[in-house]
Amino acid sequence: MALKVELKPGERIILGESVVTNAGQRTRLLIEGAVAILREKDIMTPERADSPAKRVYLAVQLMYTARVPSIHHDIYFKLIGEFLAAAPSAWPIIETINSEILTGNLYKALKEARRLIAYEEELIAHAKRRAGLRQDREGDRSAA
Amino acid sequence: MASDIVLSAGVRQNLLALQNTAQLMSVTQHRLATGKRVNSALDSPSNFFTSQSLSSRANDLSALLDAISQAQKTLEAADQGITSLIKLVESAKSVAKQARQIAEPQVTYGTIDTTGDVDFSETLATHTGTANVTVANNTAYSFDISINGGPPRTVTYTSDADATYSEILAGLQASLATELAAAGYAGRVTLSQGPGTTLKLDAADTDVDFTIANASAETNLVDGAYTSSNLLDLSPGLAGKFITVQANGGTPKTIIFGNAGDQVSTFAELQAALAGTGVTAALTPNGAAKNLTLSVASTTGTQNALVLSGTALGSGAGTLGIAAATLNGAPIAPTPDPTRANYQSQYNEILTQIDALTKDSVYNGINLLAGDQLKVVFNERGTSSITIMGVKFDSINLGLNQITGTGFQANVNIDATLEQIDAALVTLRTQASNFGATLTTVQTRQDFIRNLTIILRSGSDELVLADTNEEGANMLALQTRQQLSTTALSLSAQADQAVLRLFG
Repeated sequence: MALKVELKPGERIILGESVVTNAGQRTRLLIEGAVAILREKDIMTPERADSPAKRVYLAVQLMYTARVPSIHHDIYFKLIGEFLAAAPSAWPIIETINSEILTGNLYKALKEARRLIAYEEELIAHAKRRAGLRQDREGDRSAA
Repeated sequence: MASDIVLSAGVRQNLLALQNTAQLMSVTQHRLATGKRVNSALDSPSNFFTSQSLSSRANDLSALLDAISQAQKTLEAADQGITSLIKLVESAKSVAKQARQIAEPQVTYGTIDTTGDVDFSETLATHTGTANVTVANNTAYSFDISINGGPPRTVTYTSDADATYSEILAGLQASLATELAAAGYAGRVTLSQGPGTTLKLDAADTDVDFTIANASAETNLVDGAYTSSNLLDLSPGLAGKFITVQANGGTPKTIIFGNAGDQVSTFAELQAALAGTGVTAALTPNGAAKNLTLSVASTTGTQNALVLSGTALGSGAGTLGIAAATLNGAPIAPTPDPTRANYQSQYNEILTQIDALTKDSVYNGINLLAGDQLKVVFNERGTSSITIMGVKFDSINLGLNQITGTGFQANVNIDATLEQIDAALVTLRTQASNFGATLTTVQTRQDFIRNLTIILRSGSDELVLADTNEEGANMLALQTRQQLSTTALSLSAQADQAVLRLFG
C-alpha cells in the first residue's frame, strides 16, 4: 500500500538519498516501495542537535537514511553510553530503540528517540524548576 | 584589569552552560547531603535503575552473543561447504568436457538392400553352326543377317585356291563388321569360332535379336530367328515407366525404361544409369531366377537412406518387382570408447564426493546444506530474529545424476549433462551469495549486541541508584561536555556526508 504524503508549498522531505522539495502548490504524493522517508518536521540537523537526546536522535536518523546503517553504530553507542551514564533511568526507552534497530525497524527507532528527547526535557526541566523554586521559597531557607 | 581575550559566541555560551551546570550540581549535592529530596512523579521507585538489573541484561545479551556466534559458525560452515561444492561441480564439468573431446564412437548403419520379385535372367541371342565349316577352295561363303527386324544384309566371303578355316572365319568377320556398320549396328553381333571349327554368332547385348537367312551350305549355319531377352522382354509392360532413386538425401535420379537412346532397356544400361547416384544394382539368384536388387552402401555416423519412387515400382510383370519405399540401414551400436567410459566413472565418483561433502557441512548438529533451518535470536526478548532456511545440495537436488550405461559415449548425453552442471553452478553461486548476505546481517547484529553489552557492563559498574534530580543535573553536564567534545563534531561530519547535507 502506498504511503500518502501531503506537502505544503516549499516543504521538503527526504526520500531515500534525495531531498524532494515541493516547488508549487500543495501536493499530495503517493510513495510505494521500501525507501527511507522523512518529513521536514521530523528532520534533525546537526545545528539543532544540541542536547544528548537530540544527538541520539540524529544518529538514529543517520542510520535510517544511510545505505549501510552500521557505519553510524560507533557514534550511536558512544552517545547512548554517555546518556545512560548520566541518566540510567532512560534505559527502558533506549532498550526499545536498540530493539527496533536490531529488528531493522529504523523508522520506529526514530520515533522512540523522539520519546527520549521528551524524557530528557522532562529531566532537565525538573532539575531547573526545583532550582527555581528553591530560590523563591523562603520557607526552604528557614531555620529548623 | 580587563581581559583582552576575545571569546567567540559559541565558547561564551558553553562557558555559561558550564557555570549553570556547576550551580545545579552543587544544589543537587546539597539536597542529597541534607536528605531533603523533592518529590515528583519521576521519583517513583520503578524509575530507579539497579546495577543488578543492568548486569543481568548484559548477561542475557552475552548468552545471545554466544548463540549468534554459533549461528555465524554454522553459516560459515555452510559457506565453506558451498565453496567446496562449487569446486567439485566445476571439476565434474571439466571431466564431462574432457569426455566430450574424445572422438565420439560412431554408430554404423548397415547396407540397404531391396530385392524384387521379377525374374530378370537376361539372355543373349546366339547361334552356333550345326557342323564344322566345310573348307573348300574358290567357294562363296555367305548368309543374310537382319538385326532387330531390320533389312537383311548379306555377309559373304569367297575362299581362295588355298582355303583354310582361319581365312574363311576372318573373311566372314570382316564382311560382317562392314555390313553391321552399314546397318547402324556396328559391333552388336560378333562372329567367332565355335566348338571345333564351327561358326558362332553372338549378340553383343540383350537388346539385339538377329535373323539368319540364305546361309550357304558350307557355313553349316541354320536359318532362323535368334532372340535376346532384356529387361523389357522379361517384364512386359515395363517400357515407358520410370523409377526415381535417391540415396542418402542426395540428388534424385529418374530413369525411364524403354528403347530410345537415353532410356534403359538392359541390366547393364540400368547399372550405367545408376552410376554416381550412390545406388547400385545387382541380380540376386533366387532358385533358377534372378531378381533385381538395389543397394545403398553402409554408412558410419549418419543414417543412410534409399528413397524409391516411380511407376516402374511394384510387383510382378510390368514392374521392377520392387515396391516404392523409403528404406534405412539398420543401426549397429558402436564399441564403447574406454576413455569415455573412464571419464564417466570419474564423473560419478565426483558426484559421490559432492554427497559426502554435503553431509559433512554440519556445525553443532545443524547442516544448512542438508535442508536444516537455523533460527538466530537477536534480542533477549526474542522479538527480533531471523530464520535461515537451509538448502538441499546433494547431487540429486542439484540436478546432477549418476551416469549409467553408455551415457558418456554419446555427445548429446554429455551436452545435456553439461547443461545440468551449469544450472547447478548458478544455483550454488546464488545460494553462496544468499548465505553471504545473511552472514553480513548476523555479523552486523553481533557487533551491535557486543557494543551494547560493553555499555551495559561499564554502566553497571558505576551505577547504584539514580535520582531524578541527579539525572537532570547529569544531563545538563553532559550537554555541555558533549558540546565541547569531538562527538558532536564527528556527528556533524557524518551528517555532512549523508543526504542531510542537502538541508544545509
